[in-house]
Amino acid sequence: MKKNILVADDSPTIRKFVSFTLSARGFKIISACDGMEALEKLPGEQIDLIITDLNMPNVDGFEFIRIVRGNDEYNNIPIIILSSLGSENDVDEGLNCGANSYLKKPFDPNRIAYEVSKYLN
Amino acid sequence: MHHPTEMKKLNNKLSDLQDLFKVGEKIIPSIQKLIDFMVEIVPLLSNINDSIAESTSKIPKASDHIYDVTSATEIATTEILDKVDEINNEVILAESAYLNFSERYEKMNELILELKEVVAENPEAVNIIDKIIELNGNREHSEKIKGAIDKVKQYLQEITITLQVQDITAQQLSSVNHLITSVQKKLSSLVMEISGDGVRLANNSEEVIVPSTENFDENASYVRNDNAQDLANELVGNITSQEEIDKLFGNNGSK
Repeated sequence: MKKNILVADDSPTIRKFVSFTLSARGFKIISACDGMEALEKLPGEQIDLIITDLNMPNVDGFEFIRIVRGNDEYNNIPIIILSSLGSENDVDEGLNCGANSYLKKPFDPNRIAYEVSKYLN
Repeated sequence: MHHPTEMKKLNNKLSDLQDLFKVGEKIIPSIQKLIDFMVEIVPLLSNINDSIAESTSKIPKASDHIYDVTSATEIATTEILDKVDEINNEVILAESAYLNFSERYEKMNELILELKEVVAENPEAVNIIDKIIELNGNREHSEKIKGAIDKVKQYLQEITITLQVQDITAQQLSSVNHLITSVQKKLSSLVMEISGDGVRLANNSEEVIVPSTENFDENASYVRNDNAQDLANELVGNITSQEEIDKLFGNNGSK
């Protein structure tokens, strides 16, 4: 059975890149255009992993991660941040919020596949 | 008859009045200059005001153009990605067909060699079989096909990475849009209404609506090297190098 990955990013092209990269490796991608939509989609299907951007409208990535980590039902889902932000502060804050991995844009398809495989294989 | 002290007071007053006239004589040219200056400056002020108003009115259009550019590149990138996806699927099919063919080819060669042994007593048959083996060629051609397939997959992967520049430029354009919105607001606050009853600030400029407000990284940059990821890896405690990952996943990323 395919594993479900929720991808939250306000850039349609990045959602497409991630979908393109991970669908080819047998994962099912569920897309959300911001943290708010991602939160709405969480209860819909069994989500096995989350990939989220940080700069997003409505609910940004940091807040989204905090909300997920604060929810007993979802707090064990691995979270990978995928962002163009890459300062020490950004990475620290992302990890402190509860993310498991941090990928900097532009991302290498093999790198994201490797990070996903760490949690889903 | 007036009292002497009153006369003295009157004298003093006249003296003061005389002093006032003297000061007035000195001040009047300055006041005249000030009036002349004001007469010159008001049309200039009006011109500046018109220029600011005109520039301010053009900003929403500039902002719209930037948004249109972002949308157009987004659509174009998505279309290219769709094509890359289709090519990738075709390459996967071609690779699968090649592997299938390669397997059959090896099996056929084995059977031909077996057949050669069976008909070893028949020189004519052996001769024909040798010709068949010669026509079948060697593994070099087969490896060339496999190499070409691998290269196409590698190029497709590189195109995918390169296309991410669209996301980076979109963030930079959002940052520029945000900046020009701020400039427009400042300029709007400088536009004045100049009329007969005075000069006052006007607030009638068109507002710029920027589609995505501050959901961008103004320092977003397209840097394709491992250093960009190194800091994050160090903080996360990820010690696997890109080289190791590439070896693990290969060109197409499939394990």
